[in-house]
Amino acid sequence: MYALYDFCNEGADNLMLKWARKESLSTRDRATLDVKMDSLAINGLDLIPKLVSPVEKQPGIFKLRIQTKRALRPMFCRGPFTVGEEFTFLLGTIEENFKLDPPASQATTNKNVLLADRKRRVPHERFH
Amino acid sequence: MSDFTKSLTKSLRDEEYAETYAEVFQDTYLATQIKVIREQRGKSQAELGQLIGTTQGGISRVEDASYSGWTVKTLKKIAKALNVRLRISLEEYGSLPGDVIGMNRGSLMRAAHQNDLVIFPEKISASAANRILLMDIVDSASHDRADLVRENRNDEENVVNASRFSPASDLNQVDLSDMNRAASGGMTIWQ
Repeated sequence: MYALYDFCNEGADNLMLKWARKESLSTRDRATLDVKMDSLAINGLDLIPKLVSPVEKQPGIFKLRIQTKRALRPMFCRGPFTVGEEFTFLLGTIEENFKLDPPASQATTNKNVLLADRKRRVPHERFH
Repeated sequence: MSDFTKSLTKSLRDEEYAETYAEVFQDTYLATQIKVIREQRGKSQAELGQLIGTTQGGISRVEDASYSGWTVKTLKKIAKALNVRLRISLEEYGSLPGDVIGMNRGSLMRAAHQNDLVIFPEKISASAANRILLMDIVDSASHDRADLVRENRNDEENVVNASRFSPASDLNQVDLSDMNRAASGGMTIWQ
């Protein structure tokens, strides 16, 4: 099983959970997110078809494909410290009309922040 | 009980959450199993599509973890084309964490009718029989099942995966009725 982590701010607030609160994700949204993230943790990237896709112009960044009433697109990277054993969620986004909010480049920025400071992540928490 | 199972079990106390989780997991499971068995049979999406009267794109649509438009009619066609039976069953929510944690390539694979060891036990070759005993010993040393599946993925022989067998000193102790019960701890013929 892979370890999952969530990017956090300097005060160690889990930014994925903050995103879920800010977007007022419903129980249905949260359950769907949890299935996809559990699948990633158990099987990684290779087994489940179309679970994830790479993010354009952001090398090394992937998004989970989650369609509820909205197109939820949590973004993550392999590792980044122990590739093959862990994934880190970097940014929660919502896609509308092929546009991501917040923009995907923020995921790369967050990854770079994390690479410079290993403390900027916490173990992943379920959305429910 | 693992931390993951504890955590998921706790989340499932919420009925709406449990309903959605089960539904989304089922969709993910079906899409993945169709892809795994299609690959196990060595068929392309186009070839499977042809067998059930659809296109490569039609198979690509159902081999998508987010696909949710299943019908029993389609599933029956796919099962027939992949030479397996369709089993539809109503289950308690409590069995969900076990299903989630137990999902892996090995547990999704199914023997085709002609290679079903329950129906054709005479097909167990001597080499496969030896493999059963070897893997049984490995299993009793508490090796992870997934590792065993990975170790055998490229084996060209008619290999039997006995990774969750109870210890047995010889083949007479092997219960053939378990042989193709991949999901619940049986065995799978690799073909």
